[in-house]
Amino acid sequence: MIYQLPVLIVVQLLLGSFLMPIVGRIRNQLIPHISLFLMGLANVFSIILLFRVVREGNIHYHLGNWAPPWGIEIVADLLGAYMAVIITGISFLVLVFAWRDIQREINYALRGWFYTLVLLISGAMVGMVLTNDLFNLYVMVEIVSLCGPALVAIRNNRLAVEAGFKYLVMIALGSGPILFGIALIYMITGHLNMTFAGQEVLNVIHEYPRVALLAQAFFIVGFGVKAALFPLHVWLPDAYTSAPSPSSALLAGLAAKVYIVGLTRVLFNLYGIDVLATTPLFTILKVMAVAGIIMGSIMALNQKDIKRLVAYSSVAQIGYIFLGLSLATGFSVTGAILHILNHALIKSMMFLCCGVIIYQKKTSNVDELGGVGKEFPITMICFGIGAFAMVGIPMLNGFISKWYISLGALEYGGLAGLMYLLVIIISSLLNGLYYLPVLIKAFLGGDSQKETVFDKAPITLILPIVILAAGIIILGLLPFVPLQIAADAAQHLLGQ
Amino acid sequence: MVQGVETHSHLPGLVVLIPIIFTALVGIFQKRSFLLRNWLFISGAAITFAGMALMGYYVLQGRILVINYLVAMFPFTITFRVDTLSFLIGVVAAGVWLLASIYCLQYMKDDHAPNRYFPVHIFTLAGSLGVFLAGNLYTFFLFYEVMAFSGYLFVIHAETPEAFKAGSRYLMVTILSGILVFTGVIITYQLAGTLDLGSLGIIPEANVVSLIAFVAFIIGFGFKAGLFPLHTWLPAAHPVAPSPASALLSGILIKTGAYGIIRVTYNVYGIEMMRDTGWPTILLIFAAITTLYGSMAALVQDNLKRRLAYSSISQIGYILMGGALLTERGLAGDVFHIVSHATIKSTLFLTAGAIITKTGIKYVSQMAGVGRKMPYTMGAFTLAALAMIGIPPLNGFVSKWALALGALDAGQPGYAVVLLISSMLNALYYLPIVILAYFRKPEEGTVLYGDMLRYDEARASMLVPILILALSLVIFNILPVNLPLVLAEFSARALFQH
Amino acid sequence: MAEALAALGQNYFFYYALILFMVGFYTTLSHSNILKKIIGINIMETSIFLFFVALGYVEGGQAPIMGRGAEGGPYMNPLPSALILTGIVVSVSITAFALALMVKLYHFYGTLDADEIVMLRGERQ
Repeated sequence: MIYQLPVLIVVQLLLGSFLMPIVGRIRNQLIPHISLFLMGLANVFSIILLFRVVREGNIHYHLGNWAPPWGIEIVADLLGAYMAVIITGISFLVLVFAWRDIQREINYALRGWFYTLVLLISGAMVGMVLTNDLFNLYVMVEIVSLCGPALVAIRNNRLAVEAGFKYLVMIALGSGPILFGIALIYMITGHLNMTFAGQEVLNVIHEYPRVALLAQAFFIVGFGVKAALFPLHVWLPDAYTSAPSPSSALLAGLAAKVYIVGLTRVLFNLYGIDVLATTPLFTILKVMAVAGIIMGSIMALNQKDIKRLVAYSSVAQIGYIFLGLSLATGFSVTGAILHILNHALIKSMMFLCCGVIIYQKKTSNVDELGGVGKEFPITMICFGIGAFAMVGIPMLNGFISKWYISLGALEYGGLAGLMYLLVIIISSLLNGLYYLPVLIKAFLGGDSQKETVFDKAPITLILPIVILAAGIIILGLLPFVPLQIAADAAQHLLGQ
Repeated sequence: MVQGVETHSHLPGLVVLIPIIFTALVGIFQKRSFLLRNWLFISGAAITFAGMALMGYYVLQGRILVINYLVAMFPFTITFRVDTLSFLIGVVAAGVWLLASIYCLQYMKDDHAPNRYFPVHIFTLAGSLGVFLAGNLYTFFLFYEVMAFSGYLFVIHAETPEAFKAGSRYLMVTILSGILVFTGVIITYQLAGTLDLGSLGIIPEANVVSLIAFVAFIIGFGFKAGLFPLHTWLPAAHPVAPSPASALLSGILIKTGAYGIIRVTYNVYGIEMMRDTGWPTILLIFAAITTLYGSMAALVQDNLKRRLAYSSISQIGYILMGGALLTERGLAGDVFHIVSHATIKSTLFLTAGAIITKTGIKYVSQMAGVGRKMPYTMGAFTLAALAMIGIPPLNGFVSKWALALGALDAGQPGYAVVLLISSMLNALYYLPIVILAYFRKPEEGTVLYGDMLRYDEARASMLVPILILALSLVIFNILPVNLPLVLAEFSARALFQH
Repeated sequence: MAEALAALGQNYFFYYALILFMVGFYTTLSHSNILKKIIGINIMETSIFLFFVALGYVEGGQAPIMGRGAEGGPYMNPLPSALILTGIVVSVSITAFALALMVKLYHFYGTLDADEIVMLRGERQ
C-alpha cells in the first residue's frame, strides 16, 4: 500500500467527499466524524510520504501503470509532499474548527455539504501539487475552482451568494485561458506530461516562439485570476469576507497558494528559467506584484471589517510571493516558496481567529472589538502572533520568508533591487499600521476595569488556532525543514 | 587585562532566559498572592543581576563569553557574546533594573493594572539584556524588537488618552526603527555574508549600498535613541509612563539605540572604513544639534518629567557624539557616559516618581518646599542634578572630561565647546528646581497633603533604591580605581584594536 | 505574403477559435446581465474545445476504433477528443453551478442585472 501513497491521499479524499451525502442520508451526525477521520488519515499518509521522499528522493507514480508520456504521472517531490502535509494538516484543523463553528455560520441542513466540499477541495489541492500531467492539473484546478465559490456561497445569504457568483465568474474566466494554454502547449509539443513537454518546448521554441509566448500569457492570466494576483484580485475581498470563517481559512490559506505552486510548476517546468528570462514575463509579474503589495496594504488600511482587513492583506502577501518568484534569483525564489508555506499557516490562523471573534461577538466590525483581548486572550494573542509574523518580527516564520525575499531583492542588484527592498519595507510598515490598531483596541480598548478571563469558546475552536500559532513560532525559530525544502525547490526551478 | 580569549559559557543565554521564565512565573502566580508575586518579581531581577555580575568574574580576566544556539539555522543563529562593553552596559542595566523593580513594588501598589505591569517590566529586561549581550546582528535585531514592543506597554500603562497618543507615536517609531534596522541588517548580510559582531568591520567595501545600510542603521537606532529630529516620541512618552518605567526607558531602553550605533560603527563597519569615508560626520553634526536642542528645550518645560526627558535627549547627544568622534578616548567617554547617564537619569526619574506619588506634584513650578518635606529624596535629586551638570567628583564630570578629551583628540575642539555650553544649560534648568525645592516656601494650597510636615519621606522601599543609585554616582569615582571607567576605557581600546 | 496567407489558410481553425474565445471573453466582461455572462463563459469554453479537438484532426483520417478501418490508414488523434470530454464536463458543471447561483441571486435581489445587484448590495451594507 505504501507504494500507492501519492495517489491514495487524493483518491481517499475525493471518494470520501462523494461518500458524505450518502452518509448524510443514513446518519447525519456521523459526517464530521468520518470526514475528520479521513482527513486525519490523509495527513498521516502525507507525513509518511514526506518521510519517504526525504529518504528516497522523488517518487514517480504511474497511474494505471501506464508509463509516461502516455499515462498520467504523479511525482511527489519535496515541495509537493510538504505542501500535501500542509494542505491536509490545515484542512484537518479547519475541520476541527468547523465541528462547533459551522452550524452557527451556515444552515444546519447544509452542514453535510460543507464537509463534502472541504474533502473535495483538499483532495484536489493535494492532487494539484503532486501531479506532473498538464491536463490532470487542469482537472484538479477546476475542482478547486468550483469548490471555492461553493464554499463561499454555502453561507446562503445575499452577500455570500453575490460574492460567490462574482468569484465563480472570475474563476471561470481564468479556467478558459489555462485550458487554452494547455492546448497550445499540446499543439507544439504533443505531450501533456510536464517533463516531456518541457524537453520538447526547448526544441520547438524557435519554431513557434509566438505560440509559446501566448501560452505563457494564458497561464499567467488564468492562474493569476485564481491566485488573486493584483489587479485580478477583485473577487477576493468580498469572497473571503462573506464566506464562513473555516472556508475563508481554507481558501485564503491554501487554495490561493496552491494555484501559485501550480503556476510555478507549469512555467518553470515547461519553459525553464532561460526561456522565461527572454520573455517580458518577469517584468510584468514584478510590476503586478509591486502594485499588489502596495495597493493591498493601502486598501487594508481603511477597512472596518476585520475579515476584509485580513483579506486585503492577502492581496499584499500574494504580491510578496510573486515578487519573490519574478525576481528569479536563488534567494528570492527560496523566499517566495517559503512564504507560500509560511503564509498558508499565518493566513489560515488569522481567518480562524476572525471566526472565533465572530462566534463570540457576533460582529466583525473592528470598532466594536474594544477589549476583546480581555474576553478571549488566547485567540487575540494568536491573532497578534499572526500580525507580528506578517510585519516580520524575528522569531516568527514571516520574518524568515521576508528575509529571503529581501535578500533576493538585494541579490537582484542595482538600484532596482534596492527599490524592491524599499517596497518590501514600506509594506511591512503598512502591515504594522493596519494590524496593530486592531490589537491595541482589542487589548487596551473597552472597559479597562474588566478582569481578564479565559476564552469561553469551545476547545475545538481554540485548539486549531493554538496549534497553528505554535507552528508559526516553531517554524520561525527552527526554519530548517521548510528552508531546506524551499531552497531545494528553488534550485530545481532555477535549474542550478 | 589581556584581550579576548573566547570562552564558551551558557551564562549569557541563561541571563537572558531567566527573566523570561520569571515573566511566566509572575504571570501565573500573581493572582494567587501578592506576596508571592513580589518575591518572584524581585528574585527574577536579582538572579539576573547576579548572573550578570558573575560574568564579571570571567570578563575581568579578559575573557569573552561566547555561546551559539541553533547553529544549523545560519544565519538565524542565536549568538551571545559578552565582551567588556557588553558586560559593562549589561551589568549596569541589570542593576538599575533590580533597583527599579524594588522601587516599583511600592509605586505600583495603588496604580491600576499591576497584573499587566509586573510581567512586562521583567520581560523587557530580557529584551534589553538580549540586545546588550547579542553576538550577531540577528540576535540583536530579535531582542531589539522584543524590547521595543514590550516597551509600548510601559508607555500606555496609564491608559489615558494622552498615554494612548504617546503610545501610538512610540509604536510608529518602533515599527519604523525596526524596519530600518532590518534594512541595515539584511544589506549587511548581503554584503558581508555574515552577521557576526565578533570582528572589527565585516563590510568589505564602502559603496552606495553600504552607505544606505549605514544611514538606515543610524536613522533606525536614532529613532530609538532620540536623535534630533527623530526624538519626538521621547518627551511625549516619558511623562505618561509610570516613573520606574520612565527611569528604565530613559536610563536603559534608549541606550540600546546608542549601543546599536556603537556596534554598527565599530563592529560592522570598523574604525578604518569609518575614518576613510567620514560618514560618522553626519552623525556628529546631528548629535551636536541634539545636545543643544535638548538642553534648550528642557529649559522651558514646566512638567518635571518632560524636562527630564528633554535632558535625556541632550545627554543622548553627548553619547552619540562620543562614538562619532572616532577617537579612543571619545569612545571611552561615550561608553562611560552611557553608564553614568543610566544611573543619573534613573535616579532623577525615580525621585520624580517618589515626589509625584507622595505629593501629587507634577510641575516644577509647584515644587517649592518639597526639599524640606522630603530631604533624602530631594538630596538624591540634587546629587544627580549636580552629576548631570558635571561637578567633580560625580560620574557626570568624569564622562564629560573624557568626552572633551576625545573631542580634542579628534581635532574638533568645537564639540568640546558644545559640551561646555550644554553643561551650562544643564545648570540653568536643574539648579532652579533644587533652589525652588529647598529655599522657597510653598504657595498656599499647592502642596496637596501633609502640609509642611518636616519629615514626610517616601516609603523605605522606594527610598532605598534611590539612595543606592545616588550613592553609585559618587562611590566609584572616589575609589582609587574607578572600575566603570577602567572597563569603559578597556572596551574602547578593544574596539580600536587591529 | 502568400506564405503568410497559406499559413493562415492552414491554421484557420486556430484564428477562428481565438476570435470565438475573444467574443466569449468580451461578452462575459461587458454584459451586465448575469445570464449573458454565463453564455459568454460557455462561448469561451466552446472555442477552446473546438481548438483542442481540431488539433487532433487529420485530413482524411479515420476514427481510431479497431475493426472500423482504422488499421493501416491515417487516423485521428483520439487524445484531444478524450480530454475534451472531461473539459465539457467541467464546463457543464460551471454552467450548472452558475445557473443555480443565478436563481439564488434573483431570489435575493429580484434582478439579474449585475450592476443593479452591486448597487443593492451596497445599499444594504
